[in-house]
Amino acid sequence: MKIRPPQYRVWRIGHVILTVMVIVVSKVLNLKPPSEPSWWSSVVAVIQQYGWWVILIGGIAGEGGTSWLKAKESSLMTDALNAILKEFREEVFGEAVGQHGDHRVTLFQYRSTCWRALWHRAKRPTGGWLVPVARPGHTSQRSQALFRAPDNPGKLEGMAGKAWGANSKTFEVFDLPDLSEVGNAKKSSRVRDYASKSHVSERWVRRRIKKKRLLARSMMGFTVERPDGAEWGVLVLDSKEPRMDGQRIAKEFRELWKRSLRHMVVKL
Amino acid sequence: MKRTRWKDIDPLKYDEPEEVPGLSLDAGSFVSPYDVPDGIRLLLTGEHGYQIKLRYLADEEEVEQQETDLPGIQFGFGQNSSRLVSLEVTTTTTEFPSWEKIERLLSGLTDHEKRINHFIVQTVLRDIWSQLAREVQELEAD
Repeated sequence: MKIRPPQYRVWRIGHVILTVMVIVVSKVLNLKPPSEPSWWSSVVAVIQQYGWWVILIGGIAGEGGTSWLKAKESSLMTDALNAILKEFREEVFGEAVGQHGDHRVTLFQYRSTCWRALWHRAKRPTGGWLVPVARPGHTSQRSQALFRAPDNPGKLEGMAGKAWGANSKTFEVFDLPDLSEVGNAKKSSRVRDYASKSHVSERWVRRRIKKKRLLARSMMGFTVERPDGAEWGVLVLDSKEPRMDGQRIAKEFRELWKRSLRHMVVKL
Repeated sequence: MKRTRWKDIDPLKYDEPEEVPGLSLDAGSFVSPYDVPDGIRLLLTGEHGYQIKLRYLADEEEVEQQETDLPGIQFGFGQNSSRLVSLEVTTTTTEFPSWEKIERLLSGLTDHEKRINHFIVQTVLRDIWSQLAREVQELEAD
Protein backbone atom coordinates (compact mmCIF):
# COMPACT_ATOMS: atom_id res chain seq x y z
CA MET A 1 0.00 0.00 0.00
CA LYS A 2 1.22 3.48 -0.86
CA ILE A 3 1.24 6.34 1.62
CA ARG A 4 -1.05 9.02 0.11
CA PRO A 5 -1.47 12.63 1.21
CA PRO A 6 -4.94 13.53 2.60
CA GLN A 7 -5.84 15.63 -0.49
CA TYR A 8 -5.12 12.70 -2.82
CA ARG A 9 -8.77 11.97 -3.75
CA VAL A 10 -9.54 15.62 -4.55
CA TRP A 11 -6.43 15.70 -6.72
CA ARG A 12 -7.36 12.44 -8.47
CA ILE A 13 -10.91 13.63 -9.31
CA GLY A 14 -9.54 17.01 -10.49
CA HIS A 15 -6.99 15.24 -12.68
CA VAL A 16 -9.66 13.08 -14.34
CA ILE A 17 -11.90 16.13 -15.01
CA LEU A 18 -8.91 18.04 -16.43
CA THR A 19 -7.96 15.13 -18.71
CA VAL A 20 -11.53 14.74 -20.04
CA MET A 21 -11.69 18.52 -20.65
CA VAL A 22 -8.44 18.54 -22.61
CA ILE A 23 -9.57 15.54 -24.73
CA VAL A 24 -12.97 17.15 -25.51
CA VAL A 25 -11.37 20.50 -26.37
CA SER A 26 -8.77 18.90 -28.64
CA LYS A 27 -11.56 16.99 -30.48
CA VAL A 28 -13.61 20.19 -30.93
CA LEU A 29 -10.52 21.99 -32.28
CA ASN A 30 -10.46 19.51 -35.17
CA LEU A 31 -14.19 19.92 -36.01
CA LYS A 32 -15.42 21.84 -39.03
CA PRO A 33 -17.38 24.90 -37.76
CA PRO A 34 -21.16 24.33 -38.31
CA SER A 35 -22.49 26.37 -41.27
CA GLU A 36 -25.82 27.24 -39.68
CA PRO A 37 -25.79 29.61 -36.71
CA SER A 38 -26.97 27.95 -33.48
CA TRP A 39 -25.91 27.76 -29.80
CA TRP A 40 -23.62 24.82 -30.76
CA SER A 41 -21.87 26.80 -33.50
CA SER A 42 -21.13 29.63 -31.04
CA VAL A 43 -19.72 27.13 -28.48
CA VAL A 44 -17.49 25.60 -31.19
CA ALA A 45 -16.34 29.06 -32.25
CA VAL A 46 -15.38 30.01 -28.67
CA ILE A 47 -13.53 26.70 -28.09
CA GLN A 48 -11.71 27.01 -31.40
CA GLN A 49 -10.63 30.54 -30.49
CA TYR A 50 -9.48 29.84 -26.91
CA GLY A 51 -9.10 26.01 -26.88
CA TRP A 52 -5.28 26.04 -27.10
CA TRP A 53 -5.16 27.99 -23.86
CA VAL A 54 -7.24 25.30 -22.15
CA ILE A 55 -4.84 22.61 -23.40
CA LEU A 56 -1.77 24.61 -22.35
CA ILE A 57 -3.09 25.50 -18.90
CA GLY A 58 -4.47 21.96 -18.44
CA GLY A 59 -1.08 20.44 -19.30
CA ILE A 60 0.80 22.73 -16.92
CA ALA A 61 -1.71 22.16 -14.10
CA GLY A 62 -1.61 18.38 -14.62
CA GLU A 63 2.20 18.20 -14.58
CA GLY A 64 2.46 20.63 -11.68
CA GLY A 65 -0.10 18.66 -9.68
CA THR A 66 1.72 15.37 -10.33
CA SER A 67 5.02 16.87 -9.13
CA TRP A 68 3.31 18.31 -6.05
CA LEU A 69 1.76 14.93 -5.27
CA LYS A 70 5.10 13.14 -5.64
CA ALA A 71 6.81 15.67 -3.36
CA LYS A 72 4.02 15.26 -0.81
CA GLU A 73 4.26 11.45 -0.93
CA SER A 74 8.01 11.57 -0.55
CA SER A 75 7.77 13.93 2.44
CA LEU A 76 5.24 11.59 4.08
CA MET A 77 7.66 8.71 3.59
CA THR A 78 10.51 10.78 5.05
CA ASP A 79 8.34 11.68 8.06
CA ALA A 80 7.52 8.01 8.59
CA LEU A 81 11.19 7.02 8.28
CA ASN A 82 12.23 9.76 10.70
CA ALA A 83 9.64 8.57 13.20
CA ILE A 84 10.83 4.95 13.17
CA LEU A 85 14.50 5.99 13.27
CA LYS A 86 13.75 8.27 16.23
CA GLU A 87 12.34 5.28 18.10
CA PHE A 88 15.40 3.23 17.12
CA ARG A 89 17.74 5.99 18.34
CA GLU A 90 15.94 6.14 21.68
CA GLU A 91 16.22 2.37 22.09
CA VAL A 92 19.93 2.41 21.26
CA PHE A 93 21.07 5.55 23.08
CA GLY A 94 18.30 5.84 25.65
CA GLU A 95 20.53 5.45 28.66
CA ALA A 96 23.51 7.38 27.32
CA VAL A 97 24.03 10.78 28.84
CA GLY A 98 23.52 14.02 26.92
CA GLN A 99 20.92 15.49 24.56
CA HIS A 100 19.26 13.66 21.67
CA GLY A 101 21.28 15.82 19.27
CA ASP A 102 24.43 14.24 20.71
CA HIS A 103 23.51 10.87 19.19
CA ARG A 104 22.49 10.72 15.56
CA VAL A 105 21.16 8.05 13.25
CA THR A 106 21.26 8.72 9.51
CA LEU A 107 19.91 6.56 6.72
CA PHE A 108 21.68 6.96 3.37
CA GLN A 109 20.35 5.57 0.09
CA TYR A 110 22.71 4.51 -2.70
CA ARG A 111 22.05 6.20 -6.04
CA SER A 112 24.15 5.63 -9.13
CA THR A 113 23.42 9.23 -10.27
CA CYS A 114 22.79 12.23 -8.01
CA TRP A 115 22.33 15.62 -9.65
CA ARG A 116 22.53 17.33 -6.26
CA ALA A 117 26.20 16.37 -6.23
CA LEU A 118 26.88 19.17 -8.74
CA TRP A 119 25.88 21.71 -6.04
CA HIS A 120 28.51 20.12 -3.84
CA ARG A 121 31.21 20.90 -6.42
CA ALA A 122 31.40 17.34 -7.72
CA LYS A 123 32.79 17.08 -11.26
CA ARG A 124 30.03 14.70 -12.38
CA PRO A 125 26.78 13.39 -10.90
CA THR A 126 27.42 9.76 -11.89
CA GLY A 127 29.63 7.08 -10.36
CA GLY A 128 27.63 6.23 -7.21
CA TRP A 129 26.55 8.40 -4.28
CA LEU A 130 25.19 7.89 -0.79
CA VAL A 131 22.38 10.38 -0.27
CA PRO A 132 20.84 11.05 3.18
CA VAL A 133 17.12 10.21 3.17
CA ALA A 134 16.29 10.35 6.88
CA ARG A 135 17.74 11.61 10.12
CA PRO A 136 15.45 12.14 13.11
CA GLY A 137 15.77 15.13 15.43
CA HIS A 138 14.91 18.84 15.31
CA THR A 139 18.43 20.19 15.33
CA SER A 140 20.17 17.53 13.27
CA GLN A 141 17.49 16.67 10.70
CA ARG A 142 18.82 18.64 7.77
CA SER A 143 21.76 16.59 6.68
CA GLN A 144 23.27 17.93 3.46
CA ALA A 145 26.28 15.63 3.30
CA LEU A 146 26.64 13.43 0.23
CA PHE A 147 29.33 10.80 0.04
CA ARG A 148 30.94 9.23 -2.99
CA ALA A 149 30.47 5.47 -3.24
CA PRO A 150 32.21 4.35 -6.44
CA ASP A 151 33.20 0.75 -7.21
CA ASN A 152 36.83 1.57 -6.39
CA PRO A 153 37.12 0.93 -2.60
CA GLY A 154 40.00 3.40 -2.33
CA LYS A 155 37.71 6.27 -3.32
CA LEU A 156 34.89 5.64 -0.84
CA GLU A 157 34.17 8.80 1.14
CA GLY A 158 33.39 9.37 4.81
CA MET A 159 31.93 6.99 7.31
CA ALA A 160 28.95 6.18 5.03
CA GLY A 161 31.27 5.28 2.16
CA LYS A 162 33.47 3.09 4.35
CA ALA A 163 30.40 1.30 5.70
CA TRP A 164 29.19 0.77 2.12
CA GLY A 165 32.46 -0.93 1.24
CA ALA A 166 32.74 -3.01 4.42
CA ASN A 167 30.88 -6.05 2.99
CA SER A 168 29.83 -8.34 5.82
CA LYS A 169 31.36 -6.25 8.57
CA THR A 170 30.06 -3.20 10.34
CA PHE A 171 32.46 -0.28 10.14
CA GLU A 172 33.27 1.22 13.51
CA VAL A 173 35.45 4.05 14.75
CA PHE A 174 35.59 4.38 18.51
CA ASP A 175 37.47 6.64 20.95
CA LEU A 176 37.90 9.59 18.59
CA PRO A 177 39.65 12.60 20.17
CA ASP A 178 37.45 15.02 22.10
CA LEU A 179 37.52 18.30 20.15
CA SER A 180 35.05 20.22 22.32
CA GLU A 181 37.79 22.34 23.85
CA VAL A 182 40.39 22.46 21.13
CA GLY A 183 42.25 25.80 21.03
CA ASN A 184 43.83 26.57 17.66
CA ALA A 185 42.12 24.17 15.25
CA LYS A 186 44.66 24.90 12.50
CA LYS A 187 47.63 23.70 14.49
CA SER A 188 46.02 21.03 16.63
CA SER A 189 47.35 17.51 16.22
CA ARG A 190 44.05 16.24 17.64
CA VAL A 191 42.27 17.63 14.57
CA ARG A 192 44.70 15.73 12.31
CA ASP A 193 44.21 12.59 14.36
CA TYR A 194 40.41 12.97 14.24
CA ALA A 195 40.35 13.53 10.47
CA SER A 196 42.53 10.55 9.71
CA LYS A 197 40.62 8.15 12.02
CA SER A 198 37.18 9.22 10.78
CA HIS A 199 38.13 9.36 7.05
CA VAL A 200 37.24 13.01 6.51
CA SER A 201 39.39 16.02 5.60
CA GLU A 202 41.00 18.28 8.21
CA ARG A 203 39.24 21.21 6.53
CA TRP A 204 35.87 19.58 7.17
CA VAL A 205 36.73 19.03 10.84
CA ARG A 206 37.90 22.64 11.28
CA ARG A 207 34.69 23.92 9.67
CA ARG A 208 32.60 21.85 12.11
CA ILE A 209 34.59 23.22 15.07
CA LYS A 210 34.07 26.78 13.82
CA LYS A 211 30.32 26.23 13.41
CA LYS A 212 30.16 24.48 16.81
CA ARG A 213 28.52 21.43 15.21
CA LEU A 214 28.59 17.89 16.61
CA LEU A 215 31.91 16.11 16.26
CA ALA A 216 31.14 12.57 17.22
CA ARG A 217 33.55 10.53 19.32
CA SER A 218 32.26 7.20 18.05
CA MET A 219 30.69 6.11 14.78
CA MET A 220 29.31 2.92 13.41
CA GLY A 221 27.82 2.06 10.03
CA PHE A 222 26.65 -0.93 8.05
CA THR A 223 24.98 -1.74 4.77
CA VAL A 224 21.18 -1.82 4.57
CA GLU A 225 19.73 -4.32 2.11
CA ARG A 226 16.43 -4.86 0.38
CA PRO A 227 14.43 -7.97 1.34
CA ASP A 228 15.83 -9.65 -1.79
CA GLY A 229 19.39 -9.26 -0.51
CA ALA A 230 20.43 -6.46 -2.89
CA GLU A 231 22.39 -3.62 -1.29
CA TRP A 232 20.20 -0.53 -0.78
CA GLY A 233 22.15 1.98 1.32
CA VAL A 234 23.80 2.40 4.71
CA LEU A 235 22.80 3.23 8.26
CA VAL A 236 25.28 5.40 10.14
CA LEU A 237 25.18 6.06 13.87
CA ASP A 238 27.36 8.64 15.57
CA SER A 239 27.57 9.73 19.16
CA LYS A 240 29.37 12.03 21.55
CA GLU A 241 30.04 8.99 23.71
CA PRO A 242 33.47 7.44 23.05
CA ARG A 243 32.03 3.94 22.48
CA MET A 244 28.80 2.27 21.32
CA ASP A 245 27.19 -1.01 22.24
CA GLY A 246 27.38 -2.96 18.97
CA GLN A 247 25.27 -5.87 20.17
CA ARG A 248 22.49 -3.60 21.33
CA ILE A 249 22.53 -1.79 17.98
CA ALA A 250 22.33 -5.13 16.11
CA LYS A 251 19.49 -6.32 18.32
CA GLU A 252 17.47 -3.12 17.94
CA PHE A 253 18.16 -2.99 14.21
CA ARG A 254 16.73 -6.49 13.79
CA GLU A 255 13.56 -5.34 15.52
CA LEU A 256 13.40 -2.20 13.40
CA TRP A 257 13.87 -4.21 10.20
CA LYS A 258 11.17 -6.75 10.98
CA ARG A 259 8.72 -4.14 12.27
CA SER A 260 8.91 -1.57 9.49
CA LEU A 261 12.17 -0.84 7.67
CA ARG A 262 11.96 -3.88 5.35
CA HIS A 263 8.67 -2.59 3.94
CA MET A 264 9.92 0.97 3.58
CA VAL A 265 13.18 0.41 1.71
CA VAL A 266 11.30 -1.18 -1.20
CA LYS A 267 9.10 1.92 -1.52
CA LEU A 268 11.94 4.41 -1.72
CA MET B 1 7.08 -32.46 2.28
CA LYS B 2 7.97 -33.14 5.89
CA ARG B 3 9.67 -30.29 7.67
CA THR B 4 10.52 -29.04 11.13
CA ARG B 5 9.42 -25.66 12.47
CA TRP B 6 11.87 -22.77 12.25
CA LYS B 7 14.21 -23.03 15.18
CA ASP B 8 15.46 -19.64 16.38
CA ILE B 9 19.20 -19.00 16.46
CA ASP B 10 20.49 -16.30 18.79
CA PRO B 11 22.35 -13.98 16.37
CA LEU B 12 24.07 -12.19 19.24
CA LYS B 13 25.96 -15.40 19.99
CA TYR B 14 27.63 -15.32 16.60
CA ASP B 15 27.91 -11.68 15.51
CA GLU B 16 31.26 -10.90 17.13
CA PRO B 17 33.67 -13.62 15.96
CA GLU B 18 37.12 -13.35 17.48
CA GLU B 19 38.79 -14.55 14.31
CA VAL B 20 37.84 -15.64 10.83
CA PRO B 21 40.46 -17.70 9.00
CA GLY B 22 41.86 -15.80 6.03
CA LEU B 23 40.56 -12.40 7.17
CA SER B 24 41.92 -9.74 9.48
CA LEU B 25 39.26 -8.59 11.91
CA ASP B 26 39.67 -5.67 14.27
CA ALA B 27 39.04 -6.49 17.91
CA GLY B 28 35.41 -5.82 18.79
CA SER B 29 34.38 -5.77 15.15
CA PHE B 30 30.78 -6.76 14.45
CA VAL B 31 29.24 -8.65 11.62
CA SER B 32 26.46 -7.01 9.62
CA PRO B 33 23.04 -8.03 11.03
CA TYR B 34 22.13 -9.26 7.53
CA ASP B 35 24.91 -11.83 7.52
CA VAL B 36 24.07 -13.70 10.72
CA PRO B 37 21.29 -16.29 10.38
CA ASP B 38 18.49 -16.07 12.93
CA GLY B 39 16.64 -19.31 12.18
CA ILE B 40 17.15 -22.81 10.86
CA ARG B 41 14.82 -25.58 9.67
CA LEU B 42 15.09 -29.06 8.23
CA LEU B 43 13.12 -30.45 5.30
CA LEU B 44 12.88 -33.98 3.98
CA THR B 45 13.11 -33.71 0.20
CA GLY B 46 12.71 -37.43 -0.59
CA GLU B 47 13.98 -40.78 0.53
CA HIS B 48 17.37 -40.04 2.12
CA GLY B 49 17.21 -36.44 0.93
CA TYR B 50 17.38 -33.52 3.37
CA GLN B 51 17.61 -29.79 3.09
CA ILE B 52 18.86 -27.52 5.84
CA LYS B 53 17.58 -23.96 5.40
CA LEU B 54 18.90 -20.86 7.11
CA ARG B 55 16.82 -17.75 7.67
CA TYR B 56 18.23 -14.23 7.36
CA LEU B 57 16.83 -10.69 7.65
CA ALA B 58 16.69 -10.47 3.84
CA ASP B 59 14.50 -13.52 3.40
CA GLU B 60 13.06 -12.95 -0.09
CA GLU B 61 16.24 -13.69 -1.98
CA GLU B 62 16.43 -16.09 -4.93
CA VAL B 63 18.72 -19.06 -4.26
CA GLU B 64 21.26 -20.53 -6.67
CA GLN B 65 22.19 -24.17 -6.15
CA GLN B 66 25.81 -25.14 -6.52
CA GLU B 67 27.32 -28.63 -6.64
CA THR B 68 30.15 -29.35 -4.24
CA ASP B 69 33.13 -31.69 -4.50
CA LEU B 70 31.18 -34.32 -2.60
CA PRO B 71 28.53 -36.04 -4.71
CA GLY B 72 25.02 -35.65 -3.29
CA ILE B 73 25.76 -32.43 -1.42
CA GLN B 74 24.70 -29.04 -2.79
CA PHE B 75 25.02 -25.56 -1.36
CA GLY B 76 22.40 -22.86 -2.00
CA PHE B 77 23.77 -19.32 -2.25
CA GLY B 78 21.76 -16.08 -2.25
CA GLN B 79 21.72 -14.67 -5.78
CA ASN B 80 22.39 -11.07 -4.70
CA SER B 81 24.24 -11.52 -1.43
CA SER B 82 26.18 -14.79 -1.98
CA ARG B 83 25.20 -15.79 1.55
CA LEU B 84 24.95 -19.48 2.29
CA VAL B 85 21.20 -20.03 2.50
CA SER B 86 20.77 -23.79 2.26
CA LEU B 87 22.55 -27.11 2.27
CA GLU B 88 21.00 -30.05 0.47
CA VAL B 89 22.05 -33.63 1.05
CA THR B 90 20.98 -36.62 -1.01
CA THR B 91 22.42 -39.95 0.09
CA THR B 92 21.96 -43.54 -0.99
CA THR B 93 22.11 -44.77 2.57
CA THR B 94 20.18 -43.89 5.68
CA GLU B 95 23.28 -42.37 7.22
CA PHE B 96 23.31 -38.63 7.90
CA PRO B 97 26.62 -37.17 6.63
CA SER B 98 29.32 -36.71 9.20
CA TRP B 99 30.13 -33.20 10.39
CA GLU B 100 33.78 -33.61 9.33
CA LYS B 101 32.73 -33.98 5.68
CA ILE B 102 30.52 -30.89 5.76
CA GLU B 103 33.10 -28.85 7.65
CA ARG B 104 35.74 -29.67 5.04
CA LEU B 105 33.40 -28.38 2.32
CA LEU B 106 32.51 -25.22 4.21
CA SER B 107 36.17 -24.46 4.96
CA GLY B 108 36.92 -24.78 1.27
CA LEU B 109 34.50 -22.04 0.14
CA THR B 110 36.52 -19.37 -1.62
CA ASP B 111 34.22 -16.33 -1.95
CA HIS B 112 36.41 -13.86 -0.08
CA GLU B 113 33.72 -11.17 0.27
CA LYS B 114 31.34 -13.54 2.01
CA ARG B 115 33.99 -15.34 4.06
CA ILE B 116 32.49 -14.07 7.31
CA ASN B 117 28.98 -15.35 6.54
CA HIS B 118 30.32 -18.75 5.48
CA PHE B 119 32.40 -18.96 8.65
CA ILE B 120 29.41 -18.07 10.85
CA VAL B 121 27.23 -20.68 9.16
CA GLN B 122 30.00 -23.20 9.78
CA THR B 123 30.03 -22.28 13.48
CA VAL B 124 26.23 -22.44 13.75
CA LEU B 125 26.03 -25.83 12.04
CA ARG B 126 28.89 -27.24 14.12
CA ASP B 127 26.97 -26.33 17.27
CA ILE B 128 23.77 -28.10 16.20
CA TRP B 129 24.86 -30.81 13.74
CA SER B 130 24.25 -33.75 16.10
CA GLN B 131 20.84 -32.30 16.97
CA LEU B 132 20.01 -32.03 13.24
CA ALA B 133 21.00 -35.68 12.74
CA ARG B 134 18.55 -36.66 15.49
CA GLU B 135 15.80 -34.53 13.96
CA VAL B 136 16.26 -36.23 10.59
CA GLN B 137 15.68 -39.59 12.22
CA GLU B 138 12.59 -38.26 13.99
CA LEU B 139 11.18 -36.77 10.78
CA GLU B 140 11.74 -40.02 8.88
CA ALA B 141 10.10 -42.00 11.66
CA ASP B 142 6.98 -39.75 11.65
